[in-house]
Amino acid sequence: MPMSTQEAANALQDIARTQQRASVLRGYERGAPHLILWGLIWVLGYGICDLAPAMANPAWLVLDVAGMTGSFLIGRAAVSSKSGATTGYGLRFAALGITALAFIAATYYIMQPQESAQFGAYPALFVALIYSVIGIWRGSRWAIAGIALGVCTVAGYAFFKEHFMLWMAVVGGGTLIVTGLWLRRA
Amino acid sequence: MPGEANELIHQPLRLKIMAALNGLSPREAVEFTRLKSVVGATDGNLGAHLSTLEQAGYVKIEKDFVGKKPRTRVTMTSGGRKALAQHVAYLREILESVPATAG
Repeated sequence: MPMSTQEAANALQDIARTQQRASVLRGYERGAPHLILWGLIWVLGYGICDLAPAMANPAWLVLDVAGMTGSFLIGRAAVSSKSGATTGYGLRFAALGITALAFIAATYYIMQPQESAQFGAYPALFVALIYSVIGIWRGSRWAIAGIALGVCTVAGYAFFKEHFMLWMAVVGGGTLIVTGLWLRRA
Repeated sequence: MPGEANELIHQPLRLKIMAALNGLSPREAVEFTRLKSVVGATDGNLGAHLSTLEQAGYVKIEKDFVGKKPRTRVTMTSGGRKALAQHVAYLREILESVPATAG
């Protein structure tokens, strides 16, 4: 018996919905290890800022390099397991890192933050913005992670400014780790 | 006049399985648990439909161990991709064969 137009339309809709859902869940699966890694880096970095402020700059330098290297390896492994080819991945990843760092450095140069809490809050808000924007297109869990991070950052700045770095280590880093685990379970 | 439906693929859950696998790159595999989450099926139901698709040569199922934990991974064969593409073309033909009504 020939298929009706309604049945054909429903089948095509099912295919589109399933592909969309598969893509979203794949994004969660691939993003989760990055969130967990950077959550751990935030715990260490912001923790050092609070406990040993004099060591903050060299510590962040080492941690950022470690984080970028870790993210690069995680991403390359994911690309490699998918298609076996990693051509161009390293260059794109380096470009992404340099663009983010250049944007944050340029903002610091123009806005001239005066307090350590301002220096600490801005990268966190930037990351929150990125996750929220990803969430608009690529799945609500990203948006929830971004909003949670943004709210935690602003709340810490408003109510716990004296211990903002400690707040960001525990709450900011913790939010990244918890949302990373949440994405992995999706 | 449209061709014929692929009745094996057209079953709702099998259509979802094929759609989910088709989004992967040719050598990419998806784990059984992930696929179950994507298509919203139970273990038994998904296993049964995957067997049907495997017998038709549309998917390949690999079982191994990660440490002591068993793992089942599914990939779509080139024959599976071709069959899905033909079925989708058939579905589109049906929609396109409907004369447009004047607005």
